[in-house]
Amino acid sequence: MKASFLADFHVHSNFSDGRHSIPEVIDLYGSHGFGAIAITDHIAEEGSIIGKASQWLNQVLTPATFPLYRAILQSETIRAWEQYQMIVIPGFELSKNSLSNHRSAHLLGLGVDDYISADGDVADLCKRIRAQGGLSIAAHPVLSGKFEKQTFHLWDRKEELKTLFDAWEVASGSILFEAVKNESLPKIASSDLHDRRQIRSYKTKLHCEKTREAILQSIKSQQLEVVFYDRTAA
Amino acid sequence: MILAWSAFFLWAFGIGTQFLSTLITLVCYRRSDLIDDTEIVGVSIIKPIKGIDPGFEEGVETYFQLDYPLFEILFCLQPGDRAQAVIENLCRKYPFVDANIIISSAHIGPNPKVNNMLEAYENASHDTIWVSDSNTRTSRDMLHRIVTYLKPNVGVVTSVVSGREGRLIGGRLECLFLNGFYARWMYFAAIIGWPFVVGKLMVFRRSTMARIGGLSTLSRYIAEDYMAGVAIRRLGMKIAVMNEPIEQYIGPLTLQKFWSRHIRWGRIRKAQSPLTFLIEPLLSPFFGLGSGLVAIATLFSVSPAIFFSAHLVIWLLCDMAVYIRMEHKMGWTFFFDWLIREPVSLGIWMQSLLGSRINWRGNDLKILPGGLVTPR
Repeated sequence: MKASFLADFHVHSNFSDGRHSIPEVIDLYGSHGFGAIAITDHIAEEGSIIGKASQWLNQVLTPATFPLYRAILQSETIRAWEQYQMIVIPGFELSKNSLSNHRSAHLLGLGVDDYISADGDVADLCKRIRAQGGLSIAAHPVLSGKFEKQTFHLWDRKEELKTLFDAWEVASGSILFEAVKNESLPKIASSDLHDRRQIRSYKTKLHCEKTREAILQSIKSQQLEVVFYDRTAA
Repeated sequence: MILAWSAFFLWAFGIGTQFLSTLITLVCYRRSDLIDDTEIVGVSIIKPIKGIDPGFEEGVETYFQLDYPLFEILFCLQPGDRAQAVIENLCRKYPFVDANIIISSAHIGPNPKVNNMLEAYENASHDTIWVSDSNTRTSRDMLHRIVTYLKPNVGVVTSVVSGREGRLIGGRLECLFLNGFYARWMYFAAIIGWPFVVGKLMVFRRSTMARIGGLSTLSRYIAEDYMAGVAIRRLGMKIAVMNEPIEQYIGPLTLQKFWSRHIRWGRIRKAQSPLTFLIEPLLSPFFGLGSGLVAIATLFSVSPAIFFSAHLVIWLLCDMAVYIRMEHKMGWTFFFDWLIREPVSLGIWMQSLLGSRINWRGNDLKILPGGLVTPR
């Protein structure tokens, strides 16, 4: 049965640099009446100094923590449905961070169950996400307007990469990306939530069956709306 | 001048943490009050066994003598383990204790302890599980104390380990490590809100463990206890560290066995938490002494000989206080053991740094970053 519901496809937990545990994140979105979320914790490059430092500081998922992440996501997915009728989509954010913003890129993998290293070219990473049946999303590809690492690499190569991405973030948090909006690219909006206060942000509204497959298909076929979610309390 | 002040701050950091962790250990170590109205919950005690260590029978017998109305003991053995006869004798001696031997050769991952426990875990009668190593000894009222810590927001209860009756140089050094370095840093970590779990005593609800995928999720890690703690924290639940330690009988231990055990522990720490492993030598009294001597030579007009003596005496007194608190006694060999502990520690640290292979109860394993483990 089709339903209209809000979704957020870019959410972090304390498995990377998010402030809240996965159960807390689920309770936050469930109590706000969301129909679907994707938990997308960071995976950093293992071959770079920045990536290695992030691993040592427990700020990213690693091959060692990923099995726990997946196990908790699996059990919490069941609880989210039973308690809130909310779909939880497993995901991650492959994070390639360099000193240069133009060599930095973040890619979301949605609907993916297995660990993928963030090392390698972004085109190969997209293919590896799709090989798992997942969607590859270009995360905050232009100036994000936030005090954070900027990631322009995907935007610099957008013509070459556009067939490899299922959607590009047109909004992240409370910032709408005019440059992305004006391009004829498939789009998605999400909060990039690290803290519960960031729930006030752009989101994606879907009208489809509440199943993982139907939700991913809606993103692929672009049957969605970009909306601003302004409620700060459930 | 910058070098001198840096050296001074390193010295101050070392002596400060030594003093603070001593204070914390002295305050934290105590028997907590028993609360009469604590709900009685059934507890399944799982004891993974591998052979007969010194003091094995005496240690296991203390679990048969637990004073608690609802518990079972599940001994996990592999086929042909000679410990079976010892346990069967104890079962006959204490017929009213609900004790069972589970013989299994299950293999779901490279961690032999998890493999050994899995069948008992799946067949346990109660939701509350106490994983208890075979070389520990317990007090009669321990279960009453444990359940008072198992609040709804607590994911796992653990305790500091107190080494007892170490003999030979290896055994005495083991006691010195457990009743010094490990005890003080475990209490310290608990106080600063970053406790870790020690598998000698690990109590959790099976329903909580199911939320992280069950015990089998932990079978891929070398230190299932540490990773259980990581998972519990990620779930947003707490780790409770008991005030009272669990006793571990050490007995006679050669320097070689002591060394290889600590190489294993060192390599596990390095894989799981490389940053803290790297700063471990900063916590040595001799590192502090070196940096302090550099600092005072430039900044203060204190005699190096007086500084040398005062620094070591303060450090020694702190270690003595923690040791006596943990073991309740101290022999004259303590001073000799204390002096050789630091060079031995440095040697163990350096060898741990240089490799990633270990042998654990006959299993050759390679530790991967993050604590994953694979057969060699």
